[in-house]
Parts: sequence; structure tokens; C-alpha cells
Amino acid sequence: MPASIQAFFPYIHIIIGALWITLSLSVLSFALGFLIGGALLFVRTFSGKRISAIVDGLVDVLRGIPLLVMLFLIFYGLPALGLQIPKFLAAVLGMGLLSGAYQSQIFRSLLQSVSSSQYESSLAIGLDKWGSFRYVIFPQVLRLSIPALINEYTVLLKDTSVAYAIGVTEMFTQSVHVAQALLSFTYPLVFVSLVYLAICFSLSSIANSLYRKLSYGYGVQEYIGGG
Amino acid sequence: MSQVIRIEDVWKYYDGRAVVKGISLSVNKNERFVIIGPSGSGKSTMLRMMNMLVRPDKGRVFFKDVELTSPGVNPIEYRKKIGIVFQHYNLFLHMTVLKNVMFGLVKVKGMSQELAKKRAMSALESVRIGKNLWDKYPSQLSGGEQQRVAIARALAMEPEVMLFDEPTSALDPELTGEVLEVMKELARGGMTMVVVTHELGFAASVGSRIAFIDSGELVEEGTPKEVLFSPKKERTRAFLEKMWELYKIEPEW
Repeated sequence: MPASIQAFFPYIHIIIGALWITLSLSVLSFALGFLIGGALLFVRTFSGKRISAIVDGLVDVLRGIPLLVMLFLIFYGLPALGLQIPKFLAAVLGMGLLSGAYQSQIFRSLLQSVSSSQYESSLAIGLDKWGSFRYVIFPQVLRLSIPALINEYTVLLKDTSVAYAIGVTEMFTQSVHVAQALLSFTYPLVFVSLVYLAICFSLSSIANSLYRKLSYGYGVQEYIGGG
Repeated sequence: MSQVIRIEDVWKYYDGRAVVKGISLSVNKNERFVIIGPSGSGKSTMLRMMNMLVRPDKGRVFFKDVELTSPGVNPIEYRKKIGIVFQHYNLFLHMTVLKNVMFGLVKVKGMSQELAKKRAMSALESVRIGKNLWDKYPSQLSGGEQQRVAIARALAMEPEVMLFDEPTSALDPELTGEVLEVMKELARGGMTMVVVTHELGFAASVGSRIAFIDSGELVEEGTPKEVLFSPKKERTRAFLEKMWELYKIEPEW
């Protein structure tokens, strides 16, 4: 017999109160992933075939690890090596590493839309490799990546719920706690799903509307997003 | 006469195949050096060696008295003195026309925004790109306009020599004129130019020296009159015959 919805109302603030943990966890791990993805892009742009192959291999390995396994590896595995990490930080590390692998894939695919002639002409004007990357290559890759990055963020936002497994008191964890107190899962879980949905849906709409605008002039409209 | 660019017995291999085979030539100050030859003959590769965008596998490249191929020399320092204009314009797609021209001035020459803007504006005016286009993005411009912006971008850096890699080959025929006109003005102004082109008319009227390159070799070199109208080598003659054929108008009706 599910509890009445009126019985659930007083608990809503507990779930909402944990939203900021969810948001900071997702934002921090996104930022870490962005740094990793950007660094891998730089390495891939400027190093020889062998190092690029190593980078690709690393990315493939990371992408092959399920998030839950990754979190357990970091939170329960590292202490065996004498490295005890607080659970929130462990969650940021685990999610950030995996997101770095995905973000590097995003950058990699869009690097191909930025023609190598852009690199050539920035060298020709007298910039060095780093300057070309910073002012010419990366801004263009980033611009084209924005929609895909927003989508990657929505994935991360939902994935924060996995941090439940190592005891991070984010929004989903709190909704489970509420459910246990109410002895009913229905309202807390439907509610928390609606919160995730609201955030993800608005972000995806923004991503979709940006897509056409940002890729103008790059000839990529034809391949993705129809039109 | 003072030499601006000299290449000495340069070689370049791609996948074990030589595309430039021991070419030597020098370009003097105020000269308009025109390079002609069939597609795939190594012209563009050779041109890119002149500013070390392509590093020769063998041979030496000089900019004035400096050997760019010497291990102790960083060619980046000299690239800003050697302007280059590409076949496909290669404007920075994420920058407006004005920013494209300002970019090198600010980031490479360390100029202030105001000064760079002033310099960029006068460079754009010199290639007749009007104010109404300055805030547009390259993708909003015609090919001819983009190529003129690319020339302005190179000119703004005040190079001592300008390299042109088939600057009109990607343009619709009705747009080549406006680009060639700007190049002729540059030539009249005394700019040292190295031009890879298929425009034999331009080569004949503007070039001070012509080199014919075929399968990575320098076949023949001389004045336009010598090379274009009385070539000594059979390969040059065969190429020119094919090219002149294109200019002939013989109605078939």
C-alpha cells in the first residue's frame, strides 16, 4: 500500500537539498573530463602516430570500464595501495576519467571537421604549434563540440546517481532514504526522475538549437542532425 | 641584386616517392617569379619549402642570408616575413574578416588592438574589401572576396616576399579577375612575389621570370618571353601547347 502523496510532501526538501551535491559532482567531473579530453586532443593533434595510438588505446580501455566498476576500483581498490580517497572525490575522479575518454572522442571526431589547412595557415602567419592550437584549432573544435558536450553533461548528471553505491549523499541517495522512511518508493523515485528529466530536457533543447548555428560554414550540417 | 629566397638542391619524399627532385632556384628582391607546370608536379610542395611549411628531406633553404634549414634556426621567426596565400584561401573560419587580418598582428607581432585594427583596415582597403564586409564571417563571402581578404591578411604582416599557391584555381572564372587585379597592383608596388599559377596570361604580363616544373624537376627557367613563347625544352613545349589550346576559341558551328 503506497503512502499518500501528502505524506511525501514534507520530505521533498530533503531530496531537493541534495540537488547541489548532484550538480557539483556533475560539474566537477565534467570539468575534469574536459581537461582530460582537451589534453588528449592536444596530444593527438601534435604527436606522431605511435603516441596517438597509445592515446587511442587508453581511451578505448577507459570507455570499456563500467562506471560502477570504476567507482569501486577507486574507492575500494586504491586503499589497498595505501591511497584512501574521500567518497565525493572518488566519485569526481571516476566520473571525470570516464568523461575525459568520452569528451576526447567528441573532440576527436570534430577535429576532422576543422581542416588541417587552418593549422597550416596559422603556422604560415608565424604562430607556433601551441599558439595554433590555442587560438585556431581548439576554439573551432570547441565551438563545434558545444552541443555534444551539453549532451555529455546530461549523461554525467544522470550518472551521478551511481555514486549512491559508494555512499555519496547526492539527490538519488536522498530519495532512497526518503523512500525507506516512507516505506514507499513510488513518489520519491518519480519525483527524483522528474528533476533529472527537467534539467536534461532543457539542456538537450538548448543543444539542439545551438547545433545548426554553431556548425554553420563547416559543412557538417549534412551529416548530423538532418536538414 | 639581393636575393630574398634561395633554395638549393631541395628534395622531398612522400611514402618513399620523390615529389621534388633537387630543385635549385633563387628569387631576387622586387622580382615576380612565376612557377608553372602540370598538376602534381611538386610546385606547391616546393613553394611550401620556401617558408618551411614543408621541411625538405635534403637540400637547403635560405631567407636572405639566413639558412632556414640549419638546425639552429627556428623558421617560425621568419615565417612572419614571408606571406603566403593559399589556393583555398584558408581564412580562419571562426573569426570575422577584420579579426582574420588583425590576428597575426596581435598574436604574432604583439601589436595593440587599436594599432592592429588600423593596420588591418588599411590592408583591407588596399584589396578593395569594403567596410560592409568587415564584420562578416568568411563563409558569408564569395571566393574572390575571401581570397582578397587572405591577401590582406598576409599583407598586413608587412612581409618581404609574398608566396601565392594557385591563388585563383579554386575560383569561378568571373572571380579570378578581381584577385589577379589585386596581385598586379602588388607587383606594380614592387612587392617580391613567387606565384604558382596556371594563368599564363598573368605569367606573361606580370612575371619577371618564369620557371617550368615537371615531375619534381626544374625543366626550364627564363624570362616570360623565353619560356612561354620560345621554350627550349620539349617538355615545356608540350605543356604549353596543351595550355594554349585552352585559350583558343574555335567555334564548332
